[in-house]
Amino acid sequence: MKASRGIVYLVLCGHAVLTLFPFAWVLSNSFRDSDAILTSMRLWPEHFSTRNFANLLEATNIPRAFANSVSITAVSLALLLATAVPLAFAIARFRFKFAEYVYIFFALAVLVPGVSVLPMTFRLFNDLGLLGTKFGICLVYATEQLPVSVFLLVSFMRAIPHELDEAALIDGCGIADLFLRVIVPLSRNGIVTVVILAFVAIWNDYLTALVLLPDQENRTLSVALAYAKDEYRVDYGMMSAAIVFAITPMLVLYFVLKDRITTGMAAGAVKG
Amino acid sequence: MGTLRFRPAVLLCMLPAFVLYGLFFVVPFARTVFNSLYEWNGMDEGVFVGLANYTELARDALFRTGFLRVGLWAALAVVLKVGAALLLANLLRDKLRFGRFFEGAFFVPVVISSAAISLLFTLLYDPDIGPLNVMLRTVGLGSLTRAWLGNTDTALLAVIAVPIWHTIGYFFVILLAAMRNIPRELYEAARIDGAGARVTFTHITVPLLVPVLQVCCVLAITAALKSFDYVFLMTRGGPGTATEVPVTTMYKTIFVNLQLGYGTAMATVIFLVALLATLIVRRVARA
Repeated sequence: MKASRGIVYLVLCGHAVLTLFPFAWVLSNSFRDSDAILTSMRLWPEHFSTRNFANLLEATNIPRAFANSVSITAVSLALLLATAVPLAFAIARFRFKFAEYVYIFFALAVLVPGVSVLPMTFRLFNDLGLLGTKFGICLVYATEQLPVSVFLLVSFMRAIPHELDEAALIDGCGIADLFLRVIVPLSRNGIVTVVILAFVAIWNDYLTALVLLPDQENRTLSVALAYAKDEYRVDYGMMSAAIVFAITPMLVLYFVLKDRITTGMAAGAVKG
Repeated sequence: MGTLRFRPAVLLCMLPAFVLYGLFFVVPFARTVFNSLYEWNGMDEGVFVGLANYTELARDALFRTGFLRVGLWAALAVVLKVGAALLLANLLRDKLRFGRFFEGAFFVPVVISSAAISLLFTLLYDPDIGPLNVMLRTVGLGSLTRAWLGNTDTALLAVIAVPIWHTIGYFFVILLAAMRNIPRELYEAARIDGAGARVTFTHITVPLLVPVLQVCCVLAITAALKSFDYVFLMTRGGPGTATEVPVTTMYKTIFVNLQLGYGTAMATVIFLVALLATLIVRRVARA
């Protein structure tokens, strides 16, 4: 028993090192300059130089891209909630013949890889004059997240006792009151889960932003980071700093919301 | 289904979602399928060619080989990603000292964008500064060092390793949650009957996880088919065409070569293959 426990920890530690080593390495390099990085591999810098980061903040468009990612993600989430929550409310709380079909209709998109629709979304953007705008992409992000969000919200809303609806309506509540004062507050947990899942997906997107945001000043963080790869090909320190800059906000968020993120993503996978 | 009587306000609730989904999913999807029947450069009038794009695709060696590469990718993803996640989850099923630390650590890469991960691995694979080569040199195996992403022999496997590394934690969390939902009494009964860890794993854990494992396999396979970022950001499909996969070929066909008809036919095939793979996995798991 003792020996097998030792093996268990050996496997776990091995995988933890494999998982965390790349982050430690790039973090260390982000404080070093290219010459030092070329000379030796270190997980702890000789001395901490913040020159790479200062350079990143002053001389690149990465801070701007960060701000773009923040505003684009926020607008997309607002749009997603404004469309998904009322739809889920309709499907989960009302009795009508085509509810099932509505559900299936929205399920179709889950089967279609986003990649294969994107070129024609690009054409559509062109036709609608959305290409070159900063927030047009939010319509696409909200659409991409709609199916999974609706599934999750419907399953949360179905768990709310149906007697509440009747009681609220008898008490003179309108449908709008029932929705805003009863159902939405009671589905708070579901809504938070949906927001977290959608946030991670939208914030981390690369391809959609690459295609639909051709203007340099509208680039999101992922896209700006990818361009940085070509610009700083030979400057390992700058590359490392750019990577660290891009991953730190998500790491912080993860440490704050660890349980919500992991349970949310597990639930999203199985239900979606 | 709910219990409330239907009324016009319900339509109002559904309207915004229908408009959004109709305009930004249904329309582009329909246009994708429709355009795949045309020869079209995106500017001039398209010419209806029927299924000619598809018959041409069937002869397109680059596109076909792309599917073979993605097939290898999917197979490795199922074996290594789902397999490793299953083993790790099994080790952490019972509460263990430092268990929470390992759970937290394994999931870390999942929240990071594939763009950032791809750049990170471009550095990790770097012939000069990459730890892989540095370690090989340190232990005297300098002859094995190479430009992992720049070498035709290693580029594909080097690329495939990245998404596997990136999302093991995702499958780990899904499987761990499912394992902890298995009633404890089953394990206790097995223990009383004298079953060891291995027998419990193969006779209780795995059979009860089949539905979740099925979901994991579908996710791993479709993710391989859909993945664009890793390949595009690490190798652009190169060296030569060594890491070219269907989605990168489609991207170049449409956005670089401006063959919209041919490219949308590729998009449609990718969609159909993803659908087919999903159905097959479901069928196999049921049998």
